Amino acid sequence: MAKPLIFMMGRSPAFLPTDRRYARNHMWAEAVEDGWRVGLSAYAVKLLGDLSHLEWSVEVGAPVEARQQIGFVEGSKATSELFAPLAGEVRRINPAVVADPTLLNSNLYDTGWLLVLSAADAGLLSPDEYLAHLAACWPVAQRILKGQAGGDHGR
Amino acid sequence: MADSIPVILSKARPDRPDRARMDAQLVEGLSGRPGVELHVLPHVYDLAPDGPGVEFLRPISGPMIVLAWLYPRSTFWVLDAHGVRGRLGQAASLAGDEPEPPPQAKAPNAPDGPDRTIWCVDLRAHDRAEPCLDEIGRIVDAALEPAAPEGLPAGALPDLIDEATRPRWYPVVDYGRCTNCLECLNFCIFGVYGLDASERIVAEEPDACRPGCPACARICPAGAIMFPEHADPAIAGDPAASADGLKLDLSQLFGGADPAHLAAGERDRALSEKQRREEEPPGEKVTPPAQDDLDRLVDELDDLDL
Repeated sequence: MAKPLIFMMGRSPAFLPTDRRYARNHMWAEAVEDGWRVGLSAYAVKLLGDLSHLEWSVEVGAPVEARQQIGFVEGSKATSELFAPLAGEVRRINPAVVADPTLLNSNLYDTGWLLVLSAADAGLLSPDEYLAHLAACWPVAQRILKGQAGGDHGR
Repeated sequence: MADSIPVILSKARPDRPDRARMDAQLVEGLSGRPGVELHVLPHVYDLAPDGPGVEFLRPISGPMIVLAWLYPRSTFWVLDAHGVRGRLGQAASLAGDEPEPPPQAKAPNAPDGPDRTIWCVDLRAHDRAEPCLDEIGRIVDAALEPAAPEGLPAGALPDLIDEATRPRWYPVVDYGRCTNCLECLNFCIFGVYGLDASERIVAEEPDACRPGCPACARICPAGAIMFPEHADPAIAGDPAASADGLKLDLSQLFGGADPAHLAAGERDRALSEKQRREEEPPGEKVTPPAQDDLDRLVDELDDLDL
């Protein structure tokens, strides 16, 4: 396999395999026979910390809009709602990662996949484009995170 | 010492048939059990303020066991909001599974509950009825000590308290944490909060709350406000998740909004939905607190098309 791209989050590297595509909401997407298999990128997982909880608010068979809120995830450092990276239909949900969210830490690009969406490749990014997107996001993300951690919410 | 203890089963909401099965197994397992006086109620969070369920619970003056599909902390403070007070007992400490939690420093606002224990059991902690029944058995033994269970009279048939409920949505205040800072009172624009006769914050108009809006829970500096049916454990009352205040929320970075903005957004969306639903002419303009820096940051984020 080709060497992954690396985005440096401060001193911490986030690896981005080049055999798949990425969504702007920090998910990876890999073409499979019944659609796109998606999961969280290393960038997202590093921000969340050790994953402890994952739940879905959609079921297999449900149609989803792009950016629709579809789930919720909690890690040691942060929580987040999860949003659909593409419009389509939920084809499969990975039960293993619901039962053991730490798969997102240990095997995020393989057995830690989240779900399969039937969808067209609408607006997915190449690894290089995602790397550029991360470079653009990172300064703002850092300021947002520092603002939250400071607890004053900018007021 | 009493020879039986009331066991209150707060049933799952009707939209959860999976949970209803476990409710039925618990009723079967507890009916006629020595020492157990079983009462079955609709979901405790959905009980009307002066409905039959609350009217039944209020006069119980001794210890009781409450089984509910909620965190024990949420169940306890929901009961408190209904005027049913005591000390929170948690079964996990009896099993020796977890160390007894250190006594919380008493917040200035904590009420003096009556000297009785309300044991709260989280039914979501088990996927089968048996371990729940074991846990309940341990509590009954502890609560009725020193009477040996075999010496107890057989329990009565379950008592069904009938109340037509519908799903409610309102904030529940943990007065063990609340510092009466009144941030929630200032933040909520739906008039949910008020002060009682002793100037203590209360959810005065709980049903004025907008369903789905947990904004005041995010804004509370003490992590004292719970929405027991919210998906986020920190908001639903998980003491571990919310002990150090709410965690960072990355929803804005992952496609949503950051907490303060998220909170204001949730509130404002709930308001516009209310206005749309009621087809009211837009009334007094509601201006969220000035957050220029934050707004600028969020605008930058929007520009990035996350």
